[in-house]
Amino acid sequence: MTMHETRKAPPKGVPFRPRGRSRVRGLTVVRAVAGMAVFALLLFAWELAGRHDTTGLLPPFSDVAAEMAAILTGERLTTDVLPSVLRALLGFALGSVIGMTAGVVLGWWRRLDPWLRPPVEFLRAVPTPALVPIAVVAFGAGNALRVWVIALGACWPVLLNTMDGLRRVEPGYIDSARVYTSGRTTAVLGRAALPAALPQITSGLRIGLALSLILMVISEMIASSSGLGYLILQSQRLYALTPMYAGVLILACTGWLLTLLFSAAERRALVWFEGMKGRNHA
Amino acid sequence: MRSTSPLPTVPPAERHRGRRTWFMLIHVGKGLAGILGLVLLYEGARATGILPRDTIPGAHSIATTAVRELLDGSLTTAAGDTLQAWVLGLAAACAVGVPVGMALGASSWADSLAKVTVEFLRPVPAVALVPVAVVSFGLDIIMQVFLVGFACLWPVLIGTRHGVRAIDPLMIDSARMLGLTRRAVLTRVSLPATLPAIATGVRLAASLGVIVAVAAEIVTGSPGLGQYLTQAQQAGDDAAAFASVLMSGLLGLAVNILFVAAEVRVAGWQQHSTEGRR
Amino acid sequence: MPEAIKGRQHDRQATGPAAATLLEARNIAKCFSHPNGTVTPAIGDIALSLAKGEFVAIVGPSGCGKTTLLRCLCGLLKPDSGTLSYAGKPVSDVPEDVAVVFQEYNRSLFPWLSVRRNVEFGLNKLSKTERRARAEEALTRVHLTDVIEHYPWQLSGGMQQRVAIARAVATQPNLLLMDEPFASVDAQTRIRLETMTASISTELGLATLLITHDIDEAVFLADRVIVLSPRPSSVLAEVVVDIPRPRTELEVKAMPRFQEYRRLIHDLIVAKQSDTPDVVDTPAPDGTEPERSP
Repeated sequence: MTMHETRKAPPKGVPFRPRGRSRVRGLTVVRAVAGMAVFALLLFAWELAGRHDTTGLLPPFSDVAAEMAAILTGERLTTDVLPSVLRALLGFALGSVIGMTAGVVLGWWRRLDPWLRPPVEFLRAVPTPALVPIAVVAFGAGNALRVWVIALGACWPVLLNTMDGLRRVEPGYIDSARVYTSGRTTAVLGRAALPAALPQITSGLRIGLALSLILMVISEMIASSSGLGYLILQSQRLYALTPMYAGVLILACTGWLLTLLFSAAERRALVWFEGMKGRNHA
Repeated sequence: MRSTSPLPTVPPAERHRGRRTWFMLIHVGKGLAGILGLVLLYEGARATGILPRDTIPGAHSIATTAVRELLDGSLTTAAGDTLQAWVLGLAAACAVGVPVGMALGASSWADSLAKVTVEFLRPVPAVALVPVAVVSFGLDIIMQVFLVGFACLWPVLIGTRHGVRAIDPLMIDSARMLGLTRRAVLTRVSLPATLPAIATGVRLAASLGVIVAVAAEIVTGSPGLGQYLTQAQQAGDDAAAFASVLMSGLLGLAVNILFVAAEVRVAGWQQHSTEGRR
Repeated sequence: MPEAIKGRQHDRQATGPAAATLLEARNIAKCFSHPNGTVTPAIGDIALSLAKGEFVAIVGPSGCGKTTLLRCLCGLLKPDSGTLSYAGKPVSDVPEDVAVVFQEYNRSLFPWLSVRRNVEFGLNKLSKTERRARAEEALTRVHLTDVIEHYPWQLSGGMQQRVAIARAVATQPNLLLMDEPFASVDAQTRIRLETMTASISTELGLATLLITHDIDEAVFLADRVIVLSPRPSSVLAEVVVDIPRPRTELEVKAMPRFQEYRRLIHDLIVAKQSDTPDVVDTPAPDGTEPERSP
């Protein structure tokens, strides 16, 4: 007795791959190219505007690009750019660990909620940039401090999303886990609740990553004598606009690249989620 | 699906007004206890030296300074300045983000065209643009509005686009079948359906806006809580510096509570679905 | 002439094929209290017992707390009062050899796991090869071996529920509890699933407790049907279904006996039903699991 009511099933052994919206593959490529063309057009417009600029405030794109290349191939790569990015990533990693741990505690043991929610909501509302000058005065401006500041700022979206994700787990999954595992908290939490909450958790991680970059820049603008953020600010103060824009672009590219990598990793981890969504949409 | 049942079916055993108020009081009490716990933790860290006692003031002095500064006006003015930049920036972000987001959501061609540009601009930290903004606009409030606006634009735009794309085509079909004109479908079906997503986007943007506004003030020295902070530090008045941090936190909290309430109002009818995560 | 044994069963051993009593419940009651202070009684006073290998169905009107009862019986929910013992021992959490098939398959099968992994979920203690073997065996029983690497949400409702049954059966339980398993499935599929359940239950000699609102289903599948009153529920009557096995759907439903049982149970329920208004899902009460509509 077989009931052939499945959707188009992938061949055996092949993991499920979510389809894009356009049915025809060719069309997707055309669209991608068109998008890039628009972007290139904007850069071209920048170039023109820069060439004809009389105020001296907008260097043409080609100059900026050249400066970018110079920075990335010169010594500033290892003295400024890479350490900044590394600090941001370290802070993000640290913040994620803190955020997820605290998020699991707050999200799973709901009895604590009325007690812990108000202080958590307050702490998270404090703008982390405001803590940077204070932290500098209190602890001195060192590498460790900057990483910690980034971590403590970036942990909030991770914490809140982990907490939220765990709370919104379908009770049915929890019930099934209680029936089919030993029933201990670690089993139910680890085998059912966390996988179910993963989409929400990665959403928080993504926001945390963006926040790490922001905090990295801020901490360097306020309290540093090296790094990408410092480079940008210093250039502005010296009215050296080309390196300033170059720095901003490098930062933008780094952010874009990291986000891309993150999205790719997220998609692999959440193949099932994409599939489910696709089904609901279709 | 959970609809709050307005009635218990069997004549309830107890239903005192008093009992309900008691429950609420307990709830609030727990929250206050939590906050008190936080303060105790803070003081404990100071006492043990984890937080250096000479540069980090005690909770009591922070509180008294805050109250004093609020009453005599300087902290209040600073808060007002921050709020001003924030409101204008958020409004600008919505004014641009909602229409553009709707356009991107409705037309998949427009979306494809804009995709690369949006994906590139989006991760740019607004604070990285502080120098650019200063160079372009000087130290006027327009500079702050630009920064806050740029930062807030993305959550609003992405949220709106997400909302438009998530509209169930079945709803549109049903509306058409019932005889609504295209315009009516837009105003009576699409718009209300998108509103929750827009509300979420605006809420995220609002919180982000406060952070960016304060950060910009710290870096550039333009009027607001951030400037108040750096000035207090330079004057050596740590308690005032902390008071301004406290104020920023309360501001952020108030903004968050306000927008969460607004979002619930707008989106309360919406079922939680997997699509809704953002 | 079929008879309903009215009232409760507390002092009697389980009827049906004489064997050790597997599950014994006495004076089970459960109320839900809400944060705003109201208290909703769900179960009033339930007593029942189940013997090894017995198939018992529980029928009742909508809103009478059937799901709550099932959750108490399997250990997911703690009753306010009464005693509950499984295999002689009091029930605290879900016992090792009890399996449950829930009503909503899309909210109990794990979407991040393939069908195979879902079925293997309860078999963690076994070696990898044993797990695979058991899973395949279970899936063969429910005729689903060709979709073993798919994800549950790629399948239709009937197929998903079969996966849920396979998951339960793979653990080789002594007691199988089913909470309105075929309510969310279309009528034709439901009949096929009922037949499949009957054959699995008989083949494995599995003690089964089925909650349903479908009287036909209850009479077709069960050795004994327990009829519940509206909320706060108690046992109205027990009806022993004296139809020989194996039962085939067409034959059984044509039997006049079947119709009599059906009528009897239907009348019992209807007689009591007129007093109680309908209920929707109640909100999640303070600290306990949310009540789902029974």
